[in-house]
Amino acid sequence: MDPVFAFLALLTTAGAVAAVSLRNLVHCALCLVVAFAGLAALYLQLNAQFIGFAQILVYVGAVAILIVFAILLTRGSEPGNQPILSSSWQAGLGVAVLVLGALGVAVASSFVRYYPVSPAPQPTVRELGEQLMTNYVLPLEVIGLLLTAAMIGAVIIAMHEKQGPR
Amino acid sequence: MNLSLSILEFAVIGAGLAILLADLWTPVPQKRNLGYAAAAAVGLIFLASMLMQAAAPAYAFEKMYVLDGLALFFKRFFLFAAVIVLVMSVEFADRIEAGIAEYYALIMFALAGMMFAASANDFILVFVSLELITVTFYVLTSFQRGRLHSLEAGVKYLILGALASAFLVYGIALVFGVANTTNFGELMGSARVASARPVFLLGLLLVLVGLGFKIAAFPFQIWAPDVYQGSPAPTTAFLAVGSKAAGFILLLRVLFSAVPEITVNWTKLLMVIAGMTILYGNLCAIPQRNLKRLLGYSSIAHAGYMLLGVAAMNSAGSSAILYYLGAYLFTVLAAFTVICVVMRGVEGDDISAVAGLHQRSPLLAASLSLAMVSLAGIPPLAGFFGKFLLLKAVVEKGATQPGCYWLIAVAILGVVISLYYYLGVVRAIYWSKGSAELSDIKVSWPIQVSLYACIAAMFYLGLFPDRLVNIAMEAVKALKL
Repeated sequence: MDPVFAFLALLTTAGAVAAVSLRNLVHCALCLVVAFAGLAALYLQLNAQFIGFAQILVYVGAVAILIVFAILLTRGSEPGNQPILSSSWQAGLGVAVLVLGALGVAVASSFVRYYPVSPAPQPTVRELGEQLMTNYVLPLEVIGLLLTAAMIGAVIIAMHEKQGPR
Repeated sequence: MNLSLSILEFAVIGAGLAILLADLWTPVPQKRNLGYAAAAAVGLIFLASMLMQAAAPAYAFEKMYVLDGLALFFKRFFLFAAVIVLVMSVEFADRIEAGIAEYYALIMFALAGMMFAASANDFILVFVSLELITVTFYVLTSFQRGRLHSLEAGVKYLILGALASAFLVYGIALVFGVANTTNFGELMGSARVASARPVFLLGLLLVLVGLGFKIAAFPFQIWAPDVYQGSPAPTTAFLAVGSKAAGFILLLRVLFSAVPEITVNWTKLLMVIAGMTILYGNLCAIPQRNLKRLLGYSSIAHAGYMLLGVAAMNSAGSSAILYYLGAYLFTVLAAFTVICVVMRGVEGDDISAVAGLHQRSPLLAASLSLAMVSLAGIPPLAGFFGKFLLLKAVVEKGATQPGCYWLIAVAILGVVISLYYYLGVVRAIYWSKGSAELSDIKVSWPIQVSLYACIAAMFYLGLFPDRLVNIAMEAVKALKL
């Protein structure tokens, strides 16, 4: 096994396990970031550049920060006092094993295994970027306007006001 | 690449951003007057669009963007609608707690999205411009965030709109997966081959679902009445006119410019959708007491009438849609302008609020009555001629498709039903007894100007329809019919 892959897989799994098992919610969120980053590195190692960088931008950059903010703004960071394991964890484990088994059977019996793997197109981030800046520049600009409008809207709707809904 | 083709859109975006910036230096009492500046800017762009010519279709951005007669027709349509809506929102400004300048700017951004949609020649641009329209409207519908109705409208529109967007983008992905292109011009070449694949047809069907949501066609009309009722009146007006027209231009382009070979097999489907939409809208409008909700149902019915022109699948039908939209524009904007003025301080927008309106303000009463009569399709107003043209197109189609005569029967039944509730509003204005409020309503001069313009246009289009009909016939030459 490739040592790089082994290290990344271990890191990702450890981050994911820590994210669900730690008590402090902020720690959980930070471990989730580790898992996301490990996954991004795995994508990059597979030479899937775009999805790797998108993973970093979207999940590590945006989603994780959003989660941290949501925790800070809502319930605070004090740990709760419920047990980590739900009382019905055996049932959950059973469902997980079932899903894993079903997926394994489906993959093993899939027709894809009998076909030679076609050489995947290798669009690099550079090519994607060039396309976005030339042929697809108009949709890109419209998306920029869309995000501006959405941001204005979010501020307007969430803005503090004196009286409540009537 | 020819940037100058999309100069109108960029002008609108620039004006919108300028309004946002100007807001920073405008003292609070003056902020609402920014709306007049916005309306003037859009009006100037509208006049500039009159100077543009599009004899032959011109393409830009790798044929993603097209400027032809059809696109130009719809751009002018959207620009004019936005002028009236902006004037209306100045009137509405005191009912919005904060952020009135942002309200104007968002209307202009939605306008830019509609204008891009008018020129879309590629599924990518279709999706992006539709999202720009829809996301802006999520905000515009929930702008009166102190009112529960407005928030409810915003949330409903958000959830159902997101669902429709998901259908649309899934459909586009399937179409791209089979045809390997998203461009309408290239799709037309490969559609005949690709149509043998059921996945391709499924993709197109899902695209149709997404667009059906925008025009509020049966069975994707569920959101319309609630959203129309809860939104601020200018938003509702823009939703009824602009958003619906954007849906129709995209529908026409996808059906008759991207995949005309497949569309001809869908006559029956489109006929059924048109008939059901007409019946649903008209039947559900009967018991309504809320004026905006009534217009919401009526807008569903009108989407049904316009779908008649799509189902007819001839150039007469498509040009009739354009004419109908032109008539609908003035009629609906007049109605909502009156609602916007009259419903100040009235909770619930009930029809009883217009009782005795002819004593309070003859101009408002006349405008609303004429709008209702035109929507009902009574000569000599514009609405009559629009329905006449649509039915004529369906009759032409009837020679090859006998089912069309049933469709005509349904449409006429719909018109008869609609007479009842439209004339009910007129009766409330002139002949209802015991209205509580009889004080005069002051109408500001910009509102007066826009109402007189709408009334004049309703009569002009009804009495001298040939000019707009010729323009519409010229515009639909861009479609493969």
